[in-house]
Amino acid sequence: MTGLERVFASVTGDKKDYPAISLTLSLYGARLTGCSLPEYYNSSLKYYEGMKAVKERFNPDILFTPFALAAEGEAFGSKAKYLPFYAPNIAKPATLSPKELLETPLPSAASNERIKYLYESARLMAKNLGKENAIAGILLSPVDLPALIMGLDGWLDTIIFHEEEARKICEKLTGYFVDRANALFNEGIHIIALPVIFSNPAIITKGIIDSFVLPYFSKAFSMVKGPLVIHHGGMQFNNYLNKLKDLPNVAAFAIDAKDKLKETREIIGKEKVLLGNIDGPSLNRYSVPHVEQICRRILDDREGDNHFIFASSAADIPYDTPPENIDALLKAVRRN
Amino acid sequence: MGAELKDQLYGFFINADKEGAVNLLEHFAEANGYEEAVKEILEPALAEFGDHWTKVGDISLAHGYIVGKIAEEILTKAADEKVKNSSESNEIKGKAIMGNIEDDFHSLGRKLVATFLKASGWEVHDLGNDVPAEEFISKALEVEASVIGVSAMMYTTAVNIKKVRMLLDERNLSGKIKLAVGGAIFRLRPSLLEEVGGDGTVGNALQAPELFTRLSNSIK
Repeated sequence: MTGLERVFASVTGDKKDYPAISLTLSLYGARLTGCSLPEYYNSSLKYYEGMKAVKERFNPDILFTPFALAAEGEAFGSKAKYLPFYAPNIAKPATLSPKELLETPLPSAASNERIKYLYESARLMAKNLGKENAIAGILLSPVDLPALIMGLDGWLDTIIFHEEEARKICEKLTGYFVDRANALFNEGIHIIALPVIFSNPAIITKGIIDSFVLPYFSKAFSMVKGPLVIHHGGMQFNNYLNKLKDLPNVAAFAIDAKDKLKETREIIGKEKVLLGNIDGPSLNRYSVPHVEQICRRILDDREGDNHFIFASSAADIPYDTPPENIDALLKAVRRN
Repeated sequence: MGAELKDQLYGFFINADKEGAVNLLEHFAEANGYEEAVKEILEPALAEFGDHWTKVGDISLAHGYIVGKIAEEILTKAADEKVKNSSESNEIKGKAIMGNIEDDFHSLGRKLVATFLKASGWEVHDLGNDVPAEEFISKALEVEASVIGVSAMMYTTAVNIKKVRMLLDERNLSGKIKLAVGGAIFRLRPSLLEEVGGDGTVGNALQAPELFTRLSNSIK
C-alpha cells in the first residue's frame, strides 16, 4: 500500500497492512537537507526539498505543508523572529485595531510573498509527492487567525468587549479562509489541518464558544471542498470535543498526548478518523525503549480501530530529535 | 453585607460579566469609598476566584483577562482616591521585574501577572517580550528589585531562563534576588521549574502576589 492508500483506508475504515502514520516533520526537513531555517521558511523550493528528504528518509504516510503559522501573521504585517532551530515565531503582531484590520486588503498568493510561499510549497508537494503520500495543508480558522494579526490579547479583548467588530472581522476572514482552503484543494492537497485555539474552554468562555465561535466554524467549514482535520492546538481536547464532532466537512481529530484515545473515540463516534497521540515535541528527550513503550501502549489501545492514524501530537518534532527515535517509532507501528 | 456582595462579585467573575462586576463595585464605592470596596469585596472575591481557578480548573484565559480588567479599573480608582485624600504615599510591598524570556513573545500571561501584582501593592517594572537574561539582572540591580519574574509559553523558550539563573549565580545575587518563573509550559511540565533553576512558580496569575511575597520574605 502507498501512504496515500493507507490514509484513505483510514477514512473508509478498510483494512490496512499497518496503521497510517502522521508525523509532524515539517521542521525536520531542514535538518535533513541542512538548509538554514530562514531560507527554509521563505523558499518554497527549499521547503519542498526538505519534505522530499523526509519522504526518502522516513516516508510517513502524511506530509505537511509548512507548519509556520507565523507566516499567516506576516502576510498581514506582523513581524516574525527567525530562530536557528525552531519554526519562526510572531515577534510583533501587526497590532491592527479592529477598524484597521477591517480596512486591510486581504493578501493573496499573487500579492503577498508569504502566502505565495505557503501556496507554492503546497503546490510542489502535491504535484511531486502527492501520488504516494497524503499531503496535508495547514490553515487557521477565521476565529483563530486574528490572534496572529492583532496579538492574542488584542483579539481576546475584541471578542470579549467589542463583539460587533469581532463579528465583522470573522465575516471578512471566513471568505479568506474558504478561498485559501479551496485553492489548496484545487492544487491537489488531500486534507487541511486546522490547529484550533479559540474554541477551547481553557482560552475562551463556553458562552462565547457556543454563541460566537461555533457558528463561524460551521459557516466556514461548510464551504470548503475537502476534508478537514481539527488539531488540538497544543491543549487537551476531550473536554469540548463534543462541540466540534459534528461540524461540516470535519473528517478527523488530532488529539493531545494527554487526552485519552479511548475516551476520544467514544466522543467522536466510530467513523471519524482519530489521530494521536505520542507527544511530538518530547521525542528529542525520549530514549528508543521509551518510544517503543509509548507506541506499544497506543497501538494496544487502538487495536482493531480501522479509523485510527498513529500521529505525533502537538507541534513539530524538534530539530535535534535523534533519527533513531523516529526510526523506532516507525518500526514499532509498521510491524504492528 | 460584605460577604453577600463578595459572593455576587464572584458570580460576576465566573459569568465573565465585567459590566455587572464594575457596577457592583462602583455602587459600593459611592457609599463607602474605593479602598473599602477593594478591601471588603474585591480582594476576597479575587482570592476565591484564584482558588477556583487553581482547584477546579474550568476557568478560561478569557475569564482571567476580564477579571484582570475589572481589578485594574477599580484599583486605579482606589489609588487615585487615596492620593486625593492623603499626603502619604502608597505603601509598596516590594519591587519586581517582569518579562518574557529571550525569544518568547507570548505576553498575555505576563501582563495578567503584572496586573495582579500591582493590584496587591507591588511596584512592577515590565520589560516586555524577548528580554535577554542580562537585561533582567541589570534592571533588578538598578531598581533594587527583590524578585525577577520570567515568563515563557513553550519549552523551547523556557530553557533560555537558565541564563538568568546562571547570571544570578555567577554574580552572587541568588540569595538577594529571587527568580519566579511561569507560563503554560510550567503547568504541563512541573519538572521544568528545577531544570531552569527557578525559585518558585504558580499555576495562575492570581497566585503570583503570594508567590512573590513569599520569595521576597525568604531573602535573608
